[in-house]
Amino acid sequence: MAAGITVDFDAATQSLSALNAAAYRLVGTASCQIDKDGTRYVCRLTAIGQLESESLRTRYLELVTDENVREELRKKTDPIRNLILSLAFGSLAAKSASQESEDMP
Amino acid sequence: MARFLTADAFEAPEKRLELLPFRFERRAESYLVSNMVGDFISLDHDEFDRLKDLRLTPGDKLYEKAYATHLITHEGQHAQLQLLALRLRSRMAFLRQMTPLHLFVVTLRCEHSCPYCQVSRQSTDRSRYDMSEETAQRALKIALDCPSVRIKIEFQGGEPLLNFGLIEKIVLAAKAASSTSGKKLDFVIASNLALLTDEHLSFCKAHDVLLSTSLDGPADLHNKNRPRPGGNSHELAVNGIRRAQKILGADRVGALMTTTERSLERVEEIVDEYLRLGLDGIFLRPLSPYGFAVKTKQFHRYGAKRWLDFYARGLRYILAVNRAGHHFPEFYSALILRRMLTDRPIGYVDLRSPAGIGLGALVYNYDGRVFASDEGRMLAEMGDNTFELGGVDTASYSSLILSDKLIDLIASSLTQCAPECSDCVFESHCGADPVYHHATQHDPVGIKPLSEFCSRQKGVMGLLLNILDNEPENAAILRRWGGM
Repeated sequence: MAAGITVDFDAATQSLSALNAAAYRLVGTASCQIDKDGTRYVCRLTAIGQLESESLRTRYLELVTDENVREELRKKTDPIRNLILSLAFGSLAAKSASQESEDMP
Repeated sequence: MARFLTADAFEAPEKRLELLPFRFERRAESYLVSNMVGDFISLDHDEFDRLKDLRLTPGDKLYEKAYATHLITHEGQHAQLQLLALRLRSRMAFLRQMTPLHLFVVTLRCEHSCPYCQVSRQSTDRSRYDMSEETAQRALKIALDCPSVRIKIEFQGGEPLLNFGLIEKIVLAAKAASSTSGKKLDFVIASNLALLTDEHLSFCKAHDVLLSTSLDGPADLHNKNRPRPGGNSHELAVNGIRRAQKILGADRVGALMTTTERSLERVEEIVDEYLRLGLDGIFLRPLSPYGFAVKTKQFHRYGAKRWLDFYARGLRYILAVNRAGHHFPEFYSALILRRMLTDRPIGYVDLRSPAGIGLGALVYNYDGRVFASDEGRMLAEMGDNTFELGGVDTASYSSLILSDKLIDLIASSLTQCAPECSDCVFESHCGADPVYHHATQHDPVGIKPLSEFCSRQKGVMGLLLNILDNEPENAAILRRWGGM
């Protein structure tokens, strides 16, 4: 029988978008229903294959941890990422590109 | 007496350390991390934590690793940002070559009856399934109107040699037009070679036309995969390859294999067959989810894992061939390696984002319909016209490329912002392939955790990275394939 577990998080410290992103990565492995119950997000996980409850819990917690890190990284690096993209493809890039040879390797 | 200053005197003024954008993937004992242009580094858990929290200082080794891989910078330091921008622009420069590939489906007729045929060939009715000269001329005008200075015109089928007269006319007309426009042209005929004659070869020789054929392996395997009257597809293909090598030159004919369930246990024999025929490499190609491959359920007979086992075993065998001194690349690996190890712009249509549909290739069907990719016309033969952009009778190059339909499909499938892809450690070296995901999931973006394309890509790149990191002799071979 497929494993079914519940994992809950404090809504004050855990973002919903990270929980959703982690749930997305489980598509095909487990289904995940996320509800808000008072001050907590409750994630009900049901394995699709033979994954055991504890493995599923560990996997989901790792995915949530990674998604939290990705959100944190995005906050810190988005401005610099946009700057690099504008240097590569924005008006500054257009100016220097027009001086480059049209030849492509 | 002169004295040396202390080390502190040579240190740059303290400037705040900043993170640069990076992607990561958790592994059992480590994290695989890639920077904005896809350079990889493996960090243990402690190193990863220190990196993300910026707990590193010059001299602690992690600082040097992170700095060299463009994961960190100092506030106000512009050179590193300029370098990343320059590399990113170089990698995406394939976008400046608009539609370099134009495929002409000169007929849908074919004398083979392959159960995995992805184009749903027809066997009868010449008038219905052959491209007319009028359609061909209109298609050629669209192709020549594209702004690229160099284009490749590829003749596809069915079996294109069944309408060779039209191929001759298109080649001659294209060359005549290019003599005034200055556009450079390459020509390829994708043929099973069963009907190849000396006249065909003479024309190809005179007009510098390349041949691309199908070879699935040894005779029994090839003939089972590719039935035709007489059961002699392999014999005719081999004969055609040898004659083409002799008359056109060894590098003027190439072959592609398709992996069927029967191939899975025979990769060494398949590679040996390519070596025996003096071919310059092999492309271990999985089946695609189009045409008869779906109708006859061939596509569903093996999944990504079984194909990856086949690929890994084949790659090991091919590396052994190379270690023995014979340069013989696996072409898909070579393509991925060029993306992983260099910043050269690789515009391979299935492996780029923005996707190669329309921007990388246009397909002129025998009936005058224009499609955004070869796979798009294969879907149309199954009744799905999602990737049909218009018809040669009314369309221009601009109307096709700027059509809302094409722009929507490309914009909606960008890996740079697609769920899971945008954070994938392999994103810089992967592609969108909206046609594949539309065909398998009815969604051009695709649900990547369920995508076999995604599983294969991650599997291939993971294996190549593992070899590059841990097997020096094989890594040297892979670097050569990657053009380093």
